[in-house]
Amino acid sequence: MNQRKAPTKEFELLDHYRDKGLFRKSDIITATIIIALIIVSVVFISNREQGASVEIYYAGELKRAYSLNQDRTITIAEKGYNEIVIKDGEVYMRKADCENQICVKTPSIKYTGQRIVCAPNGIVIIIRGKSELDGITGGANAS
Amino acid sequence: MRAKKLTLAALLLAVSMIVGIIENLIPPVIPMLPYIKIGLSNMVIIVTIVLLDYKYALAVIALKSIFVPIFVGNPVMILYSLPSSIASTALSSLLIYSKKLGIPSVSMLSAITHNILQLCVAAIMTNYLVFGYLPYFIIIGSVSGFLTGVISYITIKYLPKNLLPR
Repeated sequence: MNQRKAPTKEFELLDHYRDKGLFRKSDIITATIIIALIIVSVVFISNREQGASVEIYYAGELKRAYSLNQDRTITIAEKGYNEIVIKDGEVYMRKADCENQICVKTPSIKYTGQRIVCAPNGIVIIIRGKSELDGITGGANAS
Repeated sequence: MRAKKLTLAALLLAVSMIVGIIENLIPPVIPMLPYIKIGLSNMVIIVTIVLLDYKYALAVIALKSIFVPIFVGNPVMILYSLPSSIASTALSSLLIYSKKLGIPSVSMLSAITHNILQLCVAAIMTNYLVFGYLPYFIIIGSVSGFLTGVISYITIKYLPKNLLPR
């Protein structure tokens, strides 16, 4: 009999999860936590406004800042080569010599807080709002 | 029986690598967030923990996280995939062994952990400017974690037992 008991123990987890349904009472706790997280996230995402300026960071340091009102092309040659375009109040990465090209595939951004990241070259582009523009021109760190 | 277990583990590793490579081939699910992937290998991990045990699951996910980036030609991805995959597998193992939660809950928590850890790696590499993605990652992690959790549950529930090593 002992010999036969070993294999059933082998499937202890499997049998347990087969017997129980898809959800249980204790899942309410997880559901509450996750729903709370989702609500907070949605509030963060929907709370966006048209951006006023764009900041370009290299290796975590603010390198340049431009207004979104003026169309221009910016080239960055730090660790790699990146070509950033500001056009009609939107920003996108036109060229990058990184291998994954995720930054180039990212659609153009225009709302406050949106960003384009080129991780291999250490470049981050962030849109800032009107309220933060004074902070940048005043030399304060607006991050 | 050991050989049969090993065969099943190898089979599961193959499945997780195939879904991992397919995930890299299809275009991003949401064009605005090109970093997001569905996390199909999450299903394989949960199934591995339940059918075999946590040691096999850790081995499967570690090998998958190393081989998939090499096979798709982007070895830098190992830095992102390996730590977060191992941590989320460890969390799933703990939760599954505790037998307190349903499979979809486990899967959602594991997906969210995976996403947050991956953001932390990205934060170290680009110096803390990536946390703006966090809300998106939490929402997408919960949705995809829920779906993969339901699929894992169906797999666990209806997989014929005579296919398993005994």
